[in-house]
Amino acid sequence: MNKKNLRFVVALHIEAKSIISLYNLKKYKIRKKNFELYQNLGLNIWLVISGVGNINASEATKYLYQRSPINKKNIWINLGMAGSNNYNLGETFNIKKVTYKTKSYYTSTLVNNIISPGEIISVDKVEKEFSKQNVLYEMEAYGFIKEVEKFCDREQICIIKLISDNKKNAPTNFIKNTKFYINYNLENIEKLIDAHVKIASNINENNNSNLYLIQRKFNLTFSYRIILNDLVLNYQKIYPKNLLEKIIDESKDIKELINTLKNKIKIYTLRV
Amino acid sequence: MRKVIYIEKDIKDLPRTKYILKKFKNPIIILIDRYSEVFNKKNQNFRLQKINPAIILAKKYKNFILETPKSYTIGKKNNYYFSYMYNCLFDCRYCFLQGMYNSSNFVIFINYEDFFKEISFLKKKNIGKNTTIFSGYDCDSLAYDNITNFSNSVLKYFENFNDIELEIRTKSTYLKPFYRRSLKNIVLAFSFTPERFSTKYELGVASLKKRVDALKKVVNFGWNIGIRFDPFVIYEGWEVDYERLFKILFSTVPREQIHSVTYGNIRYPKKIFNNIKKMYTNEKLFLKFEKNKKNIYDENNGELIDNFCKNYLFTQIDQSKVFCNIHEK
Repeated sequence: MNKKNLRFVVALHIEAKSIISLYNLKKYKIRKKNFELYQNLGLNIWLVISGVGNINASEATKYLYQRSPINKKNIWINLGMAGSNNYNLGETFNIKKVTYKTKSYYTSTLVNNIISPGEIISVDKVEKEFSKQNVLYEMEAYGFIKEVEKFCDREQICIIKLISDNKKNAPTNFIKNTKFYINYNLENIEKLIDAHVKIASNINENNNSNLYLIQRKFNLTFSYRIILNDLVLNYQKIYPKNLLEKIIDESKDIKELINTLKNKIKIYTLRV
Repeated sequence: MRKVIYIEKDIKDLPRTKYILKKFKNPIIILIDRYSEVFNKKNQNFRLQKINPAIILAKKYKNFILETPKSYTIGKKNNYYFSYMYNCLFDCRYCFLQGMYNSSNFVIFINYEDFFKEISFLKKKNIGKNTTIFSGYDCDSLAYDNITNFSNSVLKYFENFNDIELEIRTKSTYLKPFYRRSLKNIVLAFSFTPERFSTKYELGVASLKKRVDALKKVVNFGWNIGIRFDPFVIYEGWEVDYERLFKILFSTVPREQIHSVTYGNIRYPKKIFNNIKKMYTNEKLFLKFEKNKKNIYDENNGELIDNFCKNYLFTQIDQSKVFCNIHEK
């Protein structure tokens, strides 16, 4: 099963419901819980219900980061409803810019086709004026992105918002409409997320050094560990593991091992 | 893929901004206050951005021209560089830009005239005569020229700066603006590595044949040509490949049109080297890099390169036109 490596931060359970069902997420049971968590371990997908507001979004993001496995390919997604002056109810936006008071934050510029791009003004209280046109007003994106930027590259940050209300239409029947709008757009939301997953697949995994092979035979001081880790990382780029094992076996001490590795690397010529 | 274009609010209505925007089909435009809001912040992935780099249209306010490192010259006493753009369309595995910036998005400073204004001050200070200005330090000067139209402005201004020399360095084959009467004070400098290496390590760069064809055209218009083997790379079979490359290039450019030839090994300051190393955990190109006495990371192959280049180049062109960029150990 290909892992998707997704981390969702969603304010309300009703906004998360379609995602929970789409990815077959199960409730994560822990004794002391600050936030409600859902997960699908096989796909490495986790979701937290943050509650309304930027402070909650920020705390829930931090909580999810601490509770779920850290993976370089994780994509952090904030999904939810928003208001607008002129956008139509149910319209969906792939958010590119979040402004909170005077500060702005930016998301990935790599996935641009599936859902229309949009900009958010994040606020602390429910917005009713919608004074600016062509922007979305909502209450969580700032808390989310401010926190997520601390541990995640911009290219792996995705914010998706759907219009629940606008200047002409108050958010009546919020539960029913939210469910409908998200379900109606779910196919595109999934496509957008998959496009992010595809891009993240280009991220290099860290190359683990085979240092443990040396540690089985020799006790290493801190400085030897640093020197050897670097040497082994370089050595294993050009020679197979069994040759490293042979060199370790034949080395009488660490110094001899270091010299052998250095010489082997020195005689290598780049092949094009 | 749709392009994201960030535009500083102050320049959104300028004609050059509009000219550049017209080059893109249905771009996503995001207004920003200053380019530094989006460019080079820590939480960015240089490699991923290379998939579809965003463009940042900005205005530069100071430090239009800067002094080059002391040993960096192609014959003149005073050497300066300027960058109207940060980052590059090409994707060269060894490029120092990827270790210098966290972002591979393109920043284009659209106030070209302010660069030229500062260059004209050199003329007023009477130091112009012994001066080379380098373009193509933080970007490839021409790779994005069909979008930026930068060379058009360069040609217009440098026609009047005839005692200040300008080097325009590129790997691009987009040389159309130079298919015209040449200017004596402009050097078109082309960086080459052997094709076998270039195909693998210089993504996006045209084939040697295409590049040589483009080179022939500007030669025919009489331009001064710089040939750059910087970096000069060592790998299995490099001697044969370089001899072949030398032969092709020196039979393409007549001696009298060769302004200068430079060569140097791949070398980085510590911070840049560490960033690049982290980016390519399986790359063998940097395998033998070590810190030398000058705190520069390189492969300790300077002497080998120097001897090879001197042996060949001194038989082809005047020694005074050959410049070595290898740091002494």
